[in-house]
Amino acid sequence: MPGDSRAAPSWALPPDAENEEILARLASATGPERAALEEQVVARNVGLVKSIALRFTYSGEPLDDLIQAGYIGLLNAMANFNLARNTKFSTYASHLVQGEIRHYIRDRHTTIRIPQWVQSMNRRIKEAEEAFFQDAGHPPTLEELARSLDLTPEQLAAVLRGRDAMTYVSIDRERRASDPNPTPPTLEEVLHDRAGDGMPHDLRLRIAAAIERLATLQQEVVHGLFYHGKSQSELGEDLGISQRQVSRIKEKALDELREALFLVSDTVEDRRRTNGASHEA
Amino acid sequence: MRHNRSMDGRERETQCDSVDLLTLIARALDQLRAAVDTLESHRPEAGAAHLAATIRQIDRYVDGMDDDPLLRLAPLETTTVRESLRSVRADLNAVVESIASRATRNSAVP
Repeated sequence: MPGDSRAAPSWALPPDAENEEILARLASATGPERAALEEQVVARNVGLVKSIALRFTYSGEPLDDLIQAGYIGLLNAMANFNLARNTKFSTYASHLVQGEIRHYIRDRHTTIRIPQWVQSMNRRIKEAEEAFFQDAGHPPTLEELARSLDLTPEQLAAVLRGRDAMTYVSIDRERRASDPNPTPPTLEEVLHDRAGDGMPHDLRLRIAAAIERLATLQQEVVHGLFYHGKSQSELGEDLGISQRQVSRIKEKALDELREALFLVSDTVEDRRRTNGASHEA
Repeated sequence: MRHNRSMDGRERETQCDSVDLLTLIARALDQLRAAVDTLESHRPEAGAAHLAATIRQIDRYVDGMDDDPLLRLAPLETTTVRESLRSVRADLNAVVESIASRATRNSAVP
């Protein structure tokens, strides 16, 4: 009844309270009861996932696929949500659903293979970002994210610049062009706009991809030379060189491999230090 | 530098020009490192020059890669290596073209 606020029936609870009530029961539930509760959370948040998925239809991906990707984000949110922290479930879930859909689109639209080290760095940053979000209830600033990753803001900025910026930027540009209600800029966008090192992100990624491919090829050569089952003397005979020279070639290969790995994984500052040290050596 | 011992000293000299795969990769990585440094220092033309040098090295290697004994010893499929190097070349070429087109656009601005 209007005006009667003495005892609000359960159906009148706001969605977040309902979600959180179920999530509280979910924390201690097992077996069929747990499965039933999980289904309830999913059913109650279908609308949330769909509404977020609709924002990404500009990508050209079928809406159903976007929704499916969104459900993965929802399930992750359900699994990782911490009731003790000061965040609404819907806020947290929206963040993860959106992230999962973006990730799905990026995977589908990637024209350049994202190097393994970038993917691994992405995962680490994403985890730190989500953990922070849960704790603080808002996305981290550069300084906050850097602190949680045990990096300096400068180091993190360098890392972020090398991330999957190319696909991200291209997708986001499309979205801004076609979306009448674009979402506010993300941490990455802000950082990238600030980045002033003179090297556009798409070029950086192209070069990183080339370096990674060369390093992989180098690794294959080294692997072949070391594990093909031939002794250094046999290799030397085949090549028409001494065993000592074979040994030198292998050492050089390992040195190059080591340097290549440093090159793709270190920050700009670290790389410069590494180069300086190797030149001195 | 390759260490091929040949029946003919002159021929060996020529072989040294057409490097082996490991040397090519080492040189290419050096060039790319230099390219990254120059591009980060707002010197796109110098960066493009490093990349173009790498492309030329790759082209030279691919032309003579059938003679690279390292491929037989490793042992790697020539076609796989060729494809991999072509991908690298394509990436680098795209960067060079992008730098060139940006330079053209900038020079067109009065």
